[in-house]
Parts: sequence; structure tokens; C-alpha cells
Amino acid sequence: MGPIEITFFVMMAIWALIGVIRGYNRELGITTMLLIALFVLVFTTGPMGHKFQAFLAFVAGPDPERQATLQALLFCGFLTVMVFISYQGQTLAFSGSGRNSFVSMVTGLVNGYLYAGSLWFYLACANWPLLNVRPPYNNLYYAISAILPPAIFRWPFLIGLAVLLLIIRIWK
Amino acid sequence: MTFLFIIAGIMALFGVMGYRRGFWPMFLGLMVLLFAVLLVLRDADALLMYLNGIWMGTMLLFRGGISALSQGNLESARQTFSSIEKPFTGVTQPWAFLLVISAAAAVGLLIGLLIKSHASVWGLFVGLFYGYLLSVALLPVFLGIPLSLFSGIPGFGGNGIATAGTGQCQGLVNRFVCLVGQPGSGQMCGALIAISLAAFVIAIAVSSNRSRKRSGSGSRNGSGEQED
Repeated sequence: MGPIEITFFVMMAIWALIGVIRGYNRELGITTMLLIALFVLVFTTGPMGHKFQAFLAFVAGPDPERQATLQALLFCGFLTVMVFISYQGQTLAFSGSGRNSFVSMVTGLVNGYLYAGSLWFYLACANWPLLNVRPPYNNLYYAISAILPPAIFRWPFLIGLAVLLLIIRIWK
Repeated sequence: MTFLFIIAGIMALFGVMGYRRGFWPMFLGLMVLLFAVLLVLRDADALLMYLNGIWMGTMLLFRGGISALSQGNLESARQTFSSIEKPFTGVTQPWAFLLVISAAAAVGLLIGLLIKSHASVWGLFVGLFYGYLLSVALLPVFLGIPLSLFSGIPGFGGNGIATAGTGQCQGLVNRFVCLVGQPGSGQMCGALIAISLAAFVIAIAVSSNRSRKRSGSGSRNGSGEQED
């Protein structure tokens, strides 16, 4: 197992612990925010891809490597800010006691997967800028890369699920 | 050996769940799961045919085949239909059974939520059996261990999803790598993750909403927003 995989699993474990401490009702709010953040990123690179590429070319110049680095840094920064906002201050919390430790842990794992997996995906797309990660990678690296959130979730799924969760949240 | 530990872990998990939820909810879940397992064992071919049919019918609908049929344009509808590939054939066949059994497990456990019960030792035993059945039905399929309950069905048996075609898939990590690396399996794996994630978060959100209704009061500070 390489350093990236270990970091990924450690991050998921940390998020699982956070889930157990905070309770699943609060973690579901983070899940909703992460889904919305991911929707923004996937939509930006999908249907809005041409305009975003033009923006990258305008800021970073014609070099594709610099464009990829800028994209990775922008996306990872955006995700991190969204996660920080989600956890800090007034948070979007669902009702319920949140006392079920197992469910809270799994919800935390889901959040860890969404966040750490997305960071992995976008950093890997730019060949790990600012980090000393170089090929050859092992098979596990490639296997996990194939199931990272931005690789498997389409934008209609992300926004659909986020909207459904918000509807459930406000449903009386 | 690892496989036995995993089975024991899953059995323990469902045992605890069974104890906490009580006998009847767990028993109902077990019956639904048993029904799905028997369905796969008895008539796998028909099940595959129906699942493929449902998928192809849905895709025909989305690709405008139905409207072509209603307009009497049979040739266009036939072309659209022939362009749709069957999702569950060859290597991807076990995914269909995995889908059926996972759906049955989820439905059974959700139906169990409707029954009010209290902690019971009988629930613990039913939960243990539930965990065992689920493990022996699903894990060998995933991990390619020749203990599969479905060994008589083509595509299953000793060569589960993870081992088909390669001799390097030994150990849990390598089996996972082989599973995702197979043509078509990676996409199925992604779809399964998406469905599981959606089902999990929706189930938790709905159940937390129900608990609010039961308690008759809003969240802690009344507005639903909480401060960390």
C-alpha cells in the first residue's frame, strides 16, 4: 500500500471518528454540503467545461500542466473551504438524536470518502502538484482511482440527492 | 482465515443489531433475504432475463423507442432496441444477483423498521443467522472463494467476480483490485456505490425525520440549526 492510499484511509478513519463524536444528524448536513460542492465541481468541468477551460487558459496561460495545477488547487481549495464552513458555526443539522454510534461512524466514513476521494481525484488529475508523489503506482492505487466520487458520480445524481436530502430536512 | 474473520464480524454486527431491534423485525428481514436467495438459487436464468428486460425497456423509453413505436416507426424502434446492450451478461452476471440480494436485504431491514419491538435474545440468534446467510451469499461472490452458495450457477461458484480470468487475485486487497479492474465491473462497482450511498443517506435522513415527528418537537434549539 502506497502513501496516498494510506493517507486516504487515515482521512476516512478520522472522519469516521468525527462522525461518532458529532452524531449522524449533524454529519448528514455535512454530506449535503459536500454533495452540493461536488455538484458545483463536476458541473464546472462537465457542461460548463468549455467556459472553465477558457478561464483556466486566461489565468494560467496556454501550458496544460499549469492549467491542470490551477484547476486542482482551485477545486481542492473550494472543497476545503466548503467543508470548513460546513463544520464551523451554524451548521445544517438534521433532526434526531444522532446517538447511534454505528450509523454516525458510517455517515462519517461517507463524508470522508466524499472529501478525501475528491481531493485525491483532482490532485491526481494534475499529477499531484506541490506533493512528492510520483509513478509507478500500485494496482490498489488504480483500483481506488476508478471509484473516487468525481469519477463515478454524474452531476444530476449529485444535485438530485442533495435536493432530496434538503427536502427531507425541511419536510414537516 | 481472513474470510472467516469477516464472516464472524458480519455475524456479530447483525447479532447485535438483532438483539437491539428484537425478534420480529429481524425475522421479517431474514424471510425477505431468504426469499431472494431462494429466488436466485431456483431460477437464476429467469431473474437475469427479467433484469435485462427491465433495463432494456427503460433504456428504450429514454432513447425515444417508445415514441417511435407509438408513431408506427418499427424500424427505428428496432434499431434503437438493438443498440442497447444487455447489462448483465458473462462476467457481469453476478452483479445482477448481488443487486437482487442487496435490495432484498435493504427492503427487509427497512420493513423491519415499521415493527415496534424490544431487545430480545431471540433477535440476537436470528441476527446471527441473518449475518451468516448474507455473508455466505455475497462474500464468496465478491472475493471468489469456492464456498459460494450459488456454486451451481454459471458465472458464480469458485470463480466469483474477483477471480474470473486471472490467477493473481489472491488476498483481499488483490481481489478488490481485480474486481474493479475487470472490464465492465468498474462501472458496475461505481453504480453500486452510488446506489448504496444514496439509499444509506436517504434512509438515515428519513429515519431522523421520523424520530423528530415521534418526539413532537423540533431540533434542539427549535430552528434546526445547531452551533458547534
